Amino acid sequence: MPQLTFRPERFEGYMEFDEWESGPDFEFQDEVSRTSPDYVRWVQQSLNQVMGLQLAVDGVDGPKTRSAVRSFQQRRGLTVDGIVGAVTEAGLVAAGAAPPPGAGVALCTPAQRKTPAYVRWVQQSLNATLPANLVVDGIKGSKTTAAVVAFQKRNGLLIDGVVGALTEGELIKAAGKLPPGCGGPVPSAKGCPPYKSRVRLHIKILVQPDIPISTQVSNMQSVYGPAGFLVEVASTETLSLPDLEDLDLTLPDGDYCVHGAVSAEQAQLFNNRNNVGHNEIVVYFINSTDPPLNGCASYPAGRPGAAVVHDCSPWTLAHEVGHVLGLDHCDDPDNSFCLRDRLMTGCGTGSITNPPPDLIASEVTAMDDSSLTIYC
Amino acid sequence: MAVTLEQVRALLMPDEPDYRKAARLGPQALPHLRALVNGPHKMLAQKAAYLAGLIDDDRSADVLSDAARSSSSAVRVAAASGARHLRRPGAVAVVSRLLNDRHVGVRKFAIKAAAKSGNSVLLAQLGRIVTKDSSPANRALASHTLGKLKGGGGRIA
Repeated sequence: MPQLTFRPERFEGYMEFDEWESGPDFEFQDEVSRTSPDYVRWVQQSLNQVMGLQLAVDGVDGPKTRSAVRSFQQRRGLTVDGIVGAVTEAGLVAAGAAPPPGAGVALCTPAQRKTPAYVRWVQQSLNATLPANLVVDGIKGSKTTAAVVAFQKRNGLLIDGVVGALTEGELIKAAGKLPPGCGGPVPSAKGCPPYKSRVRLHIKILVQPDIPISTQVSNMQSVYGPAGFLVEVASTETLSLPDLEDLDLTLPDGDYCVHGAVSAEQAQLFNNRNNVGHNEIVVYFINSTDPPLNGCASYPAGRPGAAVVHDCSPWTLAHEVGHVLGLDHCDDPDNSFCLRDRLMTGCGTGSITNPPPDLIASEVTAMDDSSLTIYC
Repeated sequence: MAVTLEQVRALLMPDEPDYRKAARLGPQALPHLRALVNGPHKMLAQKAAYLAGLIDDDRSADVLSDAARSSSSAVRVAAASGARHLRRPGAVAVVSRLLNDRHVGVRKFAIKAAAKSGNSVLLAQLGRIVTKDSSPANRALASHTLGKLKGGGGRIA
């Protein structure tokens, strides 16, 4: 087994490690040279990708590259110094960049990987990337180990059921969230004050809705903002897809708009993902659905999003994105049990009585746990 | 027990109604559905039209006929998708009208309704759509539908 030596690395003001040693749950071998031209080229490519820049990919760590690094760090709530260390590197990967050449994106020590908080992060990340359905309890039991094995197998990693640096790096890349307390941003540094994290929306317009999109987004911000989530419109694009403006949601078994299952037309619509980064949400504004719904938040695996129709209510956008973030309805119209002051009412957001509607604490926790509420 | 407008509205107001449960209201809901189709709330009108088709009563065709004349393309789409579930003679006139609609999405769902009915008049209209519809996707859908019916996959009424 190769011996790991890792040069002392200052983790951007959070902590220092004098030495990382290889061990039974640490399979990362290569020392990262963050000054090599190949590495700098990776940084430049990554910045171009995640920030939409046009840096020259020349491997030279010049003033433009450093300035772009500072912008990225500022955007993600990291220490702003223009230097790419382990945390910024992991942040780039979490934002959708490919892993750096010849390296993982390890942040945590073996001891840190044994904490319940770390195991919860692993479970959440596996749930976000596999159909794992793990209980997020911070306990590494047989089901978690089996899911790790499945993840390693899928990603061509050493299959041992243990999360080491390479598996950790792939989980960061796949789920888009950094592990907690390992030199990455601490919770207070995660957000963009006063927000805890953000939801990035990409708006794809097939049909302009009756209620302007700006109003719907503003309504969404009025609900999500007080709960700690910054709602950003990352991009807006008009799509000319007349055949999908009226979307058939019907599944082969006759059901419709079911979590984890999509119709052929939904699959076709959700292929339109220009500009969409990792763990960002796409909202398609369409004319109508069959059967008629205000919106539908079922989406193909790995392509989170929702469809919202022309005649939706002022709160449908916020409601459907709530579903995308993992929230269920909080009441039941069949039993005349309606909570009309809540965003996730199943009785119709068109009949909300005291706008803006509420999110309760357990819903905010569920949103926090979603891989789709991302670092600033 | 009589079905009230409020009961109907309560089942259709959800952003994602459960139509199977709503259909259990039965034919007594149809007068209310017709009122909603002709009312000012376009989202409720769509849901009402679709539900009328699911209830599958002779009077459902009247509701769908009103919906097929709506100024809202989304309501007309709902008329077409509702007609797909209506197995009554009155559905043919509704689908026939919608196959000639100016909106591509209405025609798409009318093609699907025609396929399900298997009615010879509607199939003749599908034949014209195969060559004349402005939407390549609708032409392909109509062609596929006719091919499938000729292969014995459809119900001829």
